[in-house]
Amino acid sequence: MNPLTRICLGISFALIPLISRPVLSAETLYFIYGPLKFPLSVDSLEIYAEQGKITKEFAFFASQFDEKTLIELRETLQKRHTINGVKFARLLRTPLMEDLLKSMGEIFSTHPNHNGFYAIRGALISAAIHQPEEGWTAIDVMRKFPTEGISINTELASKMLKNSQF
Amino acid sequence: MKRRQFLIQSTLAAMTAIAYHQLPSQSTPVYKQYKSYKSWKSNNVFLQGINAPVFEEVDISNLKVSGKIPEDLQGMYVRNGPNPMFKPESYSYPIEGDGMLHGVYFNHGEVSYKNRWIQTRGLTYEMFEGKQLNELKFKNYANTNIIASGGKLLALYETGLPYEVNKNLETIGEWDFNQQLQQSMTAHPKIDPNTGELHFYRYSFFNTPYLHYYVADSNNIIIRELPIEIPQPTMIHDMAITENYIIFFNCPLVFNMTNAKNNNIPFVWQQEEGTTIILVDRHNLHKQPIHLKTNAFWMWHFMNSFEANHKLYIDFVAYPKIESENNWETMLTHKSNLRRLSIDLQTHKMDFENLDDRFVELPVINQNYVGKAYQFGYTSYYDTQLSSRKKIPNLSPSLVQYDVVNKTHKIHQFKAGCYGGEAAFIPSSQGQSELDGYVVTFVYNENTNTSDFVIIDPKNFESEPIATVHLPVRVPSGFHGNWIANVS
Repeated sequence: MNPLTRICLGISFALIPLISRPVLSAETLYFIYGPLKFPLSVDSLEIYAEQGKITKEFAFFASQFDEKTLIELRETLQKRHTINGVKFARLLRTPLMEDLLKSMGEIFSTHPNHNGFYAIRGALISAAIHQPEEGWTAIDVMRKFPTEGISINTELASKMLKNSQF
Repeated sequence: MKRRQFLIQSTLAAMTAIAYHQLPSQSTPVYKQYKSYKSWKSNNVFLQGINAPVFEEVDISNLKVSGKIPEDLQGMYVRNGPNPMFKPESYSYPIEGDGMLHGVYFNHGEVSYKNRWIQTRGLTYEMFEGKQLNELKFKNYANTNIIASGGKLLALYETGLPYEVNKNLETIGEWDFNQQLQQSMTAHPKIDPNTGELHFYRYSFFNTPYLHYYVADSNNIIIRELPIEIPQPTMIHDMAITENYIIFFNCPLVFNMTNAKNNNIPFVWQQEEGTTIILVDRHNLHKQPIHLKTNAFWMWHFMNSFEANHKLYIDFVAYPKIESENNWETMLTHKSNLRRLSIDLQTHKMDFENLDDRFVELPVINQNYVGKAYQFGYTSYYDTQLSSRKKIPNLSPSLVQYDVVNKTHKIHQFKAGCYGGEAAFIPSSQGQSELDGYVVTFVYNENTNTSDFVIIDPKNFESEPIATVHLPVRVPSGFHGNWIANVS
């Protein structure tokens, strides 16, 4: 084996563990309210979306909302989108959509006090590219989020919802 | 005559003819096609006749000239405008259309012309697919203006970052002031003639504060920045500067996402909100900006603004309102005219005065007078009767030179069947007075279906142009252009 081949093989083997490392996906949502941090597993949310069943964990959050909001939340979580990943990627790179993503990034992020712009865009495009035949949902986007948890700025979210910016 | 004599004479005559043949051939333009694209036709009035896009990128040198090109003209005039490459399913004028640059170069009396599309990211995606893409409806078209600043040529579109191009109009890429600017930049920045600083702003539709004001120095470093609170996300197309103030007119054309989904135009006119005049202290950004409320009106462009006798004078082209309907009949009913707003700097009392009642747009001045007391401004005049007859909404058969001091005006009428675009004032290099220089514009001739570039003497504004450059091609109507003296 010549030295060059050996070096190439060496580098390849060194790279393998990096490639095969499992991709991170968000399992937990962290609702940040001032100094407080309330975790909620994406699984609980998925169970609610799919079966309408409120898990013990989700019950605390569900108690904060009225029935109408909860039904709306379930509809939003269940809603399937079919936009093709390539088209969606192009759309999300237009200035108008980047503006919108940045304002969403103030609420949803990888870390508190950090704009989640790139994480959201990455997760949205990834969910659209890997969508099943029937389309992708908000739960899929959460699972494609590049960190273990998603930080949610609860104060800002409720303020924005009140101003109905979305 | 002997046979030998005849032969000698005819040979000499032939040689003379060959020798002198060069003269007329010098005025034959040398036409080089750079690239040609698939052409298409549309029923939309903004994509027909004077507004129809062109599908060839060309380089033409040795252009035919009537009259004499002034010797001190050395540089390039370049103008931006919408020129969709692929046939759009729907077309919202003036927001859409891939930007195309048209440049006229002057080099020691030699004149050449070049046109190029701005290779934006969105256009690249569409060229890859070979068609217009609906998901890119609100892309950065880079089609509104082109300026020279900080040693760069920047093609501007207000809801996107500038695209840098070189003097050969080749696209270099998006320019974000070395990551100092996010998201977008106005298409109407102002260069302070005293400091050379670039004053500009960006607005956001989703992120508060919705308005941000910036100043960049001549090395492209952003030296000042001010977020400005406004109650709703609105479209703000232009700004004005004076010695001590930065001026924004916040007209009630409000961004609305639901509207965007329904009719592709994301704005709603909210008459009851009125128009707010925002005055920012240029030299003390910590001072709270002054907000002055008045009745609703719409405006795209400022002509100029200045301070005198403790008053602020702001000249602009005013519209009673704007309708977001993409319909030229409605557009013609909302005529604009040149208006002056004076604000008492102590009492903040506002006075509006119409300087003229003609339907005009695209105001320009001698750029050395930006923010200073000035006397002359130039606009395109729109003839509504002619437009209605021809069923083309934006026909400008003449340019108007306003004298805002003596409140008079002069008209430069183009030849029959000829329609102009925005004028540009080229200050003469040894210029002493405000009128030392040239007024230029592209003029479309509907009889020949080609365009001319005319050079008018501002001191004899009503007379025939000093020189006319005849292009063998058509330059579609567009938006804003500028003279770039130092083409490096």
